[in-house]
Amino acid sequence: MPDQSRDLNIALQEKVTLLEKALTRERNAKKKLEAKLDQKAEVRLYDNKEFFDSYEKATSRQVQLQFLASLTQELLLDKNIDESFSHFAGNVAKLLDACPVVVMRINQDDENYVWSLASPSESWQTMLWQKDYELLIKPMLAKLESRWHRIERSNSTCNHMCSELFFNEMLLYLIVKVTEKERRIILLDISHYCYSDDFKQTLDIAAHQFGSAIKRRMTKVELAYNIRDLRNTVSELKATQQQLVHSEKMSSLGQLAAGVAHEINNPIGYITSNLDVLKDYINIYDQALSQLPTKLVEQLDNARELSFAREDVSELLDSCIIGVERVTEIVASLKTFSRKEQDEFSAVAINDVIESALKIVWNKLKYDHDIVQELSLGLPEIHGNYGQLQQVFVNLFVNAAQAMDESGELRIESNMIDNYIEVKVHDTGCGMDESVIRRLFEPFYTTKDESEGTGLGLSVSYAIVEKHNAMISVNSEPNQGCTFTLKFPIVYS
Amino acid sequence: MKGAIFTGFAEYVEKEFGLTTWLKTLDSCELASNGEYLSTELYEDVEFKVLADTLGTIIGVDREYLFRGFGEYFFPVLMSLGLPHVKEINNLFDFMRAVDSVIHIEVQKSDPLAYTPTLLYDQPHDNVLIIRYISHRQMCHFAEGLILGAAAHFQQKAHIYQTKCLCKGDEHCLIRVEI
Repeated sequence: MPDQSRDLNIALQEKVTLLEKALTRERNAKKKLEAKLDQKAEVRLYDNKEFFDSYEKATSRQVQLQFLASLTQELLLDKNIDESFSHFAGNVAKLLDACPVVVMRINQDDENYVWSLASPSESWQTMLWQKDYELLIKPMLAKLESRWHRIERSNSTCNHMCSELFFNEMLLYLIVKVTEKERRIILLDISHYCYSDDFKQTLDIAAHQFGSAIKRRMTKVELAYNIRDLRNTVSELKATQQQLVHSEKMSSLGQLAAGVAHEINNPIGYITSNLDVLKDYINIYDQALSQLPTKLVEQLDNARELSFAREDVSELLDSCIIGVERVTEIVASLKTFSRKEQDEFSAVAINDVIESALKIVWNKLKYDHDIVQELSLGLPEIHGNYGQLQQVFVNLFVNAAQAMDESGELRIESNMIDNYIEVKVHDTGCGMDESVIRRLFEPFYTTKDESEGTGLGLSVSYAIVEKHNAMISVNSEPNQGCTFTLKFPIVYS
Repeated sequence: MKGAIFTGFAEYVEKEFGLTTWLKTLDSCELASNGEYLSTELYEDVEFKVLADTLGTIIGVDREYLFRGFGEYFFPVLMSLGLPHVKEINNLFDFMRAVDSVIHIEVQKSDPLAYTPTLLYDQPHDNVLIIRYISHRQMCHFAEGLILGAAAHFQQKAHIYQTKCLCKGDEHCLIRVEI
């Protein structure tokens, strides 16, 4: 306690004033001291500030790098486009306070626009937002791709759509070009975009990375399509080349065969005629000889040879006639190659042709083979020659029967594919190797014994099929059976 | 919390409501520091709340009002310190963006590892700045006051409102400032 007796006799108001002054002096002295302390603290802080700043920056960068690294890892995985969008949108949404996210797919097809909507885990749904398209989506699409843009909810242009789907203050969106006609928009429904500059920069980098990844992916897809197209073109070219070579060969051989047939036709004509006359003459000689007395005949020098000749000549003539008939048949077959021949074409039901051909070869197949018919009902008719087409199928069925020695299955299918009627004739026989397939349609080429085939069956069939503007192809491997495929064009009246 | 806030608050109360009101406030509170504040030290956050609430009860105003008023008062004080991050600033938005650094430096002077609030910014338009304020201290109304003080200082008219607020249970405050 201060000594009251030694205190000056000062009025109370003056005392208060003095105390206030003292307080101000103390306060100023304290402030000066604090300023000195502050200066020292500042020096101390700046000595270590670099370290603290670096530490802080490194911590922040670590998070960003982790995000970008995981994004890159995701993008490197072989995911489809939908999955890539789903993962990216999901990850960004997680970073932005797990906000709602929507991926919108917009297809631009001429003047018609179709857009679909999906949250990453759900399937696409079509949404009819014609009004929103003009007001909201079209202006969005005009913005730069692979960069974040935003629209505030207060903006009147997004009233309709926003009220249906979004609840927060603003939409952060990213436009990604997928193809020339397709864009996708990732829409994040956020309440704010208050983040550090580093964070926003990370999002921008991520958007750019994602856009580039999608571009790369689509380039890959396009390349794959191009490669596939090129391969198809190459195989088509090869097939066409083979077809052309074969056609040319067939044409040359066909013309040669038709020419030969024409040349053979006349001699064969008079040989056949002469053989008939000769047979008649022989009969006359024979009858005349029969009328002679037996003794007189026996007295002839070569009576024994004459007797043998009389017995043998008839057989020889019959054999010659059979031979000439065979030659006539072959010549008739060769005439098929001649394109000049005018055939009668009419509307033909291919299933009827198949069934009639089966009846012809029924005896060859009915005991040892299973026959499966899968003929589509209601197929349109084709324009063709019934008899010639029947000949084609008979040839194929007979070949199938011969390829299946003991047992097997002959399956015949007919179907309409695009503008063609496709008929498949499949057997489970011995099949063929590549070298046989290559020569299969050549005239006189045969794998059968000489007595069994002339080698004209398939070449004639080929010529008939060509005349019908149809195509025939074969697919076979040794011991794997064989499938002939015929494609007949449908001619609409 | 940095002692400068306490000493500044003391000056504000003394100026606005009188020295005795401040002394009475201190006298009515049980404070670990006993109200002996040095601007360079750090003190328990709770002390500030206790002081504000006690003062509010004495003079009959709410905490929001006090904090906002204190913020407005404190801005010129802050500027008078000649802090390197704010002394060259000549507009409201630049000041708002610099506040984060100022707080960091001032707190770190006392303790480099001390807790600091997080302030994050977004400027959707030239005339709008949104601040996301994340702090367990819930001093968003003080921030509002600082912004008002700065607007007055830079002679800019500012309209401030919070769309989200920690004091109302949100996980952060969103302070939207339109000029």
